[in-house]
Amino acid sequence: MSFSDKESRLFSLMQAVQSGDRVAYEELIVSVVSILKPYFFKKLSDKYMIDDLIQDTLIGIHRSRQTFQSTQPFLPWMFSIAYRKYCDYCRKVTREQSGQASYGRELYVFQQGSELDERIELADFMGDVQDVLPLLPEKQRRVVVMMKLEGKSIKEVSSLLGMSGSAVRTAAHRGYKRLSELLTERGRLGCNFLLLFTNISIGSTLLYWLCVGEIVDV
Amino acid sequence: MSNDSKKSLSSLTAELVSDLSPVDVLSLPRFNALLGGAALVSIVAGCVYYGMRPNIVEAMSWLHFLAETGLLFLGCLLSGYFGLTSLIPGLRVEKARGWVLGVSLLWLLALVGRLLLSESFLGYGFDPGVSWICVQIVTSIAVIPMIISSILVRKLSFLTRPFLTWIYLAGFVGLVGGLGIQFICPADSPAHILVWHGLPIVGGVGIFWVIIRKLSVR
Repeated sequence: MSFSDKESRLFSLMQAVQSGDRVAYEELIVSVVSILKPYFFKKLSDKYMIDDLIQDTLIGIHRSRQTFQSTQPFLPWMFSIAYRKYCDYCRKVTREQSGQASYGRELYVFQQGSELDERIELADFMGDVQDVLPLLPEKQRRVVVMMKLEGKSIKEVSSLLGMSGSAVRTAAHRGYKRLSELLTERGRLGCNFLLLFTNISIGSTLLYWLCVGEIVDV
Repeated sequence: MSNDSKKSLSSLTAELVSDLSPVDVLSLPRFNALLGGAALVSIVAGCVYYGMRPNIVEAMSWLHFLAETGLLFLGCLLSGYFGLTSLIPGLRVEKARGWVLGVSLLWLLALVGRLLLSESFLGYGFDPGVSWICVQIVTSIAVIPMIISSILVRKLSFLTRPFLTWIYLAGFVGLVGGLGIQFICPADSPAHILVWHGLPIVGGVGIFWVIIRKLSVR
């Protein structure tokens, strides 16, 4: 199919989608996914991230379908949404990496290390991990616990949980990602509480001084 | 694609298809008219409430008045138009930043030029006690466009280029206030206009930017 044929086909499908045609929508989604995969693959090598971005883009297309104009072609509209999702992802990764400063080394060793010695060294960090583990989705939590805390291999985990090897890897990858987000938030929360506590202390001291000062003056 | 992510994509597809409903396509001319109408109504309401400047007929014969008012009007037009256009993914409005900034700078230069050439630096109407009302006028004229723009931003919850949309619409709101007061405030001194009209415009832009950032959903 030539580019212009593809564009006019997608244009017609999108117009049908705007009027609520579900069959056309399913066909459109299949076509969009086949276009987005090589597009994101050129930008990223991590196939789990590519899957996530494709899904985010589909959701973005769904939410903004009323903005598609009959006077514009479909592909620039779609790629504009996809590109913005990619930019959001890059921004998020940069934020996570800067926030991970205090946990970066530990998380890396946690992900890579399998020796008990390394885990003993990370006793404080492991305390934090144990606190946030219950917050992970169940599948991810079970995979992370089995692989990293119990030291099981991917094969053992997949046979115990009845999952494929790639599914175990996906769950582990997403679990580590979510773990690092939770630990970073926890670190920031700790800072915020410290600031709040410090401000309350200073404020109370000043207020006391003012009141006492007033009484003494009287 | 792994089995696990295939299952996620097919379940997402099913969800999106089942959630599909007909949409009203965003009509740019209709929204432009709405925003323009809001600006006109607020300026007219401001003129009726505060009263037109007594020397309006004389002012219409002044070249600098026509130039400054014309530039403000052009700035409103461009910011409002490009603010709405930036809601459509795929429509390129990045270069329009130059137009909007250029018109605003021209307005500023016109005033600074008049200031440097004027005999009396401060001129009539610089006294804060008298001029404070101008801040109130600019702010109150900007209220209706601010409300309409907020509703539009909230309704069109998916923004692909939020920064651009925010800055254009915030500029539109501020400039409407500045345009309206041209017909109300009798003070013609450039120092008065720069400080008592210009600063509230900038302040209004800043405040509204913060508001619509909170309102927009990404």
